[in-house]
Amino acid sequence: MRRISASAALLAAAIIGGTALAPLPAQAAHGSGATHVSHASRTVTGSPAARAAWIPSCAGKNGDTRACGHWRLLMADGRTVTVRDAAVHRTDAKGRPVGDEGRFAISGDGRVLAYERARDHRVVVRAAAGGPVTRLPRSLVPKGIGTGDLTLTLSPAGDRLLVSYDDDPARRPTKVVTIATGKVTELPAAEDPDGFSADGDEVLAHRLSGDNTTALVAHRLGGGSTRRTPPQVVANATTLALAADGRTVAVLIDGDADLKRPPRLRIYDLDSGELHDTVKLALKPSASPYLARWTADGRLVLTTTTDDPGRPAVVRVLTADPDTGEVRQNDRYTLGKDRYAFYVAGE
Amino acid sequence: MSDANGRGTFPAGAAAGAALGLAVLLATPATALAAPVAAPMAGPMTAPMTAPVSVLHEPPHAHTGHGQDSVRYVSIKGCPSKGGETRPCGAWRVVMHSGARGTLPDAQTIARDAKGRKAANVAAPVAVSGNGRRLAYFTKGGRLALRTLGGGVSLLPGNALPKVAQYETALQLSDDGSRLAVSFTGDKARDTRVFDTGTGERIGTIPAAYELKGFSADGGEVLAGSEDDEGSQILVAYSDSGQELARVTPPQVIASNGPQALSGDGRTVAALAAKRRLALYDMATDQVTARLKVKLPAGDVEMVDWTGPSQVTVHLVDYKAKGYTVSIAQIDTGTGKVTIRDRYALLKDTFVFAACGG
Repeated sequence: MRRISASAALLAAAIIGGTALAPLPAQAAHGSGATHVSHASRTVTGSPAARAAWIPSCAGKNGDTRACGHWRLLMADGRTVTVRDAAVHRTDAKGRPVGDEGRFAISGDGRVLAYERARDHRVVVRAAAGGPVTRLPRSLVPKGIGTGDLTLTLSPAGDRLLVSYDDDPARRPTKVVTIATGKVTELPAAEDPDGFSADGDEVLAHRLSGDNTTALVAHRLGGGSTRRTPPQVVANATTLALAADGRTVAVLIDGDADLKRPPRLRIYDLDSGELHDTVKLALKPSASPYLARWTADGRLVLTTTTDDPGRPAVVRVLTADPDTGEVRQNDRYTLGKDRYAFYVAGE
Repeated sequence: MSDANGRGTFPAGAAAGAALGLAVLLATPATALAAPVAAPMAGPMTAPMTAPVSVLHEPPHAHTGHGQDSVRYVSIKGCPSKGGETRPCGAWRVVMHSGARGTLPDAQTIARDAKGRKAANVAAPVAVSGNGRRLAYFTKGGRLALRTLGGGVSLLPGNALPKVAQYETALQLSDDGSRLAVSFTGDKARDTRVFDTGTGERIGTIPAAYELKGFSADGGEVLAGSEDDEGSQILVAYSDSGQELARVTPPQVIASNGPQALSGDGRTVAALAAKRRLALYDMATDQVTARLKVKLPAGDVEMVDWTGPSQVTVHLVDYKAKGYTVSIAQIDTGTGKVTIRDRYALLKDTFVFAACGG
């Protein structure tokens, strides 16, 4: 049972390259100036925020498909912008392009992009609205691995970048780059990252221990960390979000369409080990959020998508009240069925 | 490598060693195992068994106490069949602690379906109690039988179980053999039935949604598990008559390290974490009360059971090309000290085996 505010009811789905977007709902009126939603509502100046990036699909040899063409951004005001210098294809360990799309990431506020550059496959960062790129250290793509082995994640404001590596068994440690300074720190090699905290000053990560348990760790980029072995429901969750306080973890539990169970939320305190009671989210059972992040005013921004092959992808960005489970839709847009891949803000 | 009965099974094509001659057991002065089956009883077992049943009065974990021999394991051979698959053949062999061997001539060897037809390659269920003194199996006539060393065979009433395929039926005996649990693994959800093996009476049921993990040492309690609606493992302790005693969502170290075992106190759960530590968890307080370092022999952990107030016994099977070795290790839950209670190699031509407990 979703309660939608009056202005959200005016919201029309924006189809790529198509109709104008209605103003975003009353979120801005709540004074949450730090969220991307209020920025994007300034349609007068031209939106600096991107909603998503996508790349088209073409038929490859052997009847399979591959990424082709150019990366496109769907901006918050409905414009489409091409990112010409982003690599269409990622590389394998020998540096050869493969059919899968190049690496890409958008900050949670939609204002910053990170991607693999076409001409040299280096990782670069740029404002979504345009402008010069910042090249990040070459060491982010070390010899012997391809860009296909790494994943990029920007902090919500785009001031830091996580680079994690999938090249088992070499097991390279995840790198955390502060973009303004180029400084790189590393997480312990045994840890897999779950993402930045709401203010980008902490990184949430997990590690599998020798006794078949998963521990959760919050690393403070200024120094120090907190580690705990949480209850099962936290260890099982695929979507977690660390608040700016570096201790409050939102745990998203998938819905179950067969059993008609909506997605749910639990709050876990990494410092005290306290697990709060379950809150049902006002979402359909099939609408399990796959991205979540905290806002400065203690709400959760959730992203749900449908991504069925041959059909347009539908992306919804919602704000949830973690105490009541009430959900308000901030944005809804679709991406064409000729997409090969897409990345939404926060991904 | 265990099937639903907690038995060890082997991949088809396991090395077929030389056929063994099967000797009739003559181990103890008590009745030989090949003794004729007691006359079937028409209704519920109201009269005591015809032969003395001394096992109920023995200390729960006296595997070799009082000079009495006990069963190490039962084993059935595999033979190639049409189509190249291996099927159980011959009678169940009983291998005793002393090394003596016998057979279970009255036991069903190939599992029958609900209509009584033999299923091709699956062995019928057999269980051995932890103390090696009692066996549970299906007779060739389809009845559920309890055989006691030094005693006879008694049959449970014909209506003791629903009509379910034997390959969808799992048998588990408590350590002291006083309780038998029968669970069902088919598509239709059926409650687990708990029997008093002395009287043959069904004393309780455990709801079908819960997977039976095992009995406490004296069979007075049962541990079962399920999943809650958030995907977490839950543990429930029942009395042997099916009364719920405790229900918890345990911490990861317990949930992720099955098989878990329940103590006779009805609240303490033991779990072996990566063969390196024995974790003890109190269901009543939701606290991990101990994490003892343990040194266990080689092999995969097949069973974990409480065998005394401060003793947990672990069955390990080391699967090697040259043969399979079973080790039985006792852990002192106060100190973590490990004592090897027994170690033996399985008959090389074993296709399926059931060792103490199930």
